[in-house]
Amino acid sequence: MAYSSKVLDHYNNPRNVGSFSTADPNVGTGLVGAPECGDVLKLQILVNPETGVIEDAKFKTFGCGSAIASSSLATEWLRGKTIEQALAIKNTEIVEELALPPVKVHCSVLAEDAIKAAIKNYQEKQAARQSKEAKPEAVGV
Amino acid sequence: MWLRQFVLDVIGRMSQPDYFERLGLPRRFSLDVAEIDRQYLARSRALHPDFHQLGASSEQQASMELTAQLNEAYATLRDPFRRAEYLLQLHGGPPPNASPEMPPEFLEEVLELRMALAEAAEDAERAEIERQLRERRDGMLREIADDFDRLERDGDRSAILLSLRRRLNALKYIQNLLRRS
Repeated sequence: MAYSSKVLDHYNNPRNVGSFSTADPNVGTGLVGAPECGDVLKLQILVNPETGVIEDAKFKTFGCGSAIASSSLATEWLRGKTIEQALAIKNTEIVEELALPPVKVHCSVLAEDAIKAAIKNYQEKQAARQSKEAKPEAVGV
Repeated sequence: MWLRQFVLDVIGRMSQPDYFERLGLPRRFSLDVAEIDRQYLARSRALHPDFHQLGASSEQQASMELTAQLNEAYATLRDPFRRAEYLLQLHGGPPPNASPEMPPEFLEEVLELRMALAEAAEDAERAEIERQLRERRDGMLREIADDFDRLERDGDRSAILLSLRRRLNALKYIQNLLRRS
């Protein structure tokens, strides 16, 4: 099967490979797997809590070329986007950009799932921190 | 010649036999690999195109098709993972994407194992990880065998089929690690 030149470009020069500390409250981590192929993808976002803008994104995967390209592209798209804009990213846009064949569509689904999971994790961490900060007042009431 | 044609006709008339029937094996997960090999070799000889090359073109055609089907059945049943997937499908079990969620600890572990394999500097280190992975795979296959046994007896059928689907999905990750290591 022939990979598109965009897939090969991301595969040979993957952008934003790496990880952030999960202890950082401004980091959201998404860890998802694809049962069809047994690939795992970890995608993390670093959010500015003041502006709600994703300042940086990193990923780690040991999937096939399409999984690497989908994740690499996703991290590029995430940088500079607000949470709301990031939630609007659809796997079909990744399929289109990378010209993924039907058998590799699940790789783009994996990337979209990871984005959603990372945002959910960030929001849960922020909510937990806010409720912790709010607690002393609640006790005072 | 009529005898060779007769053999092919009889086998060809069996309406879409499943892979177990094609190999004359009982339809169950726990099978003796030596028995699978034996059944395959015996049938492979009878169906082999070389044995039918003097026959009519229809006979040659049938011989080739049945040989291809026999080979597919053999490749599927000889590999325990593929055999389990196939048998689950025959039982009408759920497809892989019916239970896509895996515990995050498990996914984290798979990612770490994959990194450890990629970073293993020495062959001995890599061999040790592979040994652990094979041990783990064998343990998972034993649990899968137990589930199929429970399916033969009675019990909550849909719960067992879902349990099998989850176990096979997890095993797919381990298989993947072993295949790429």
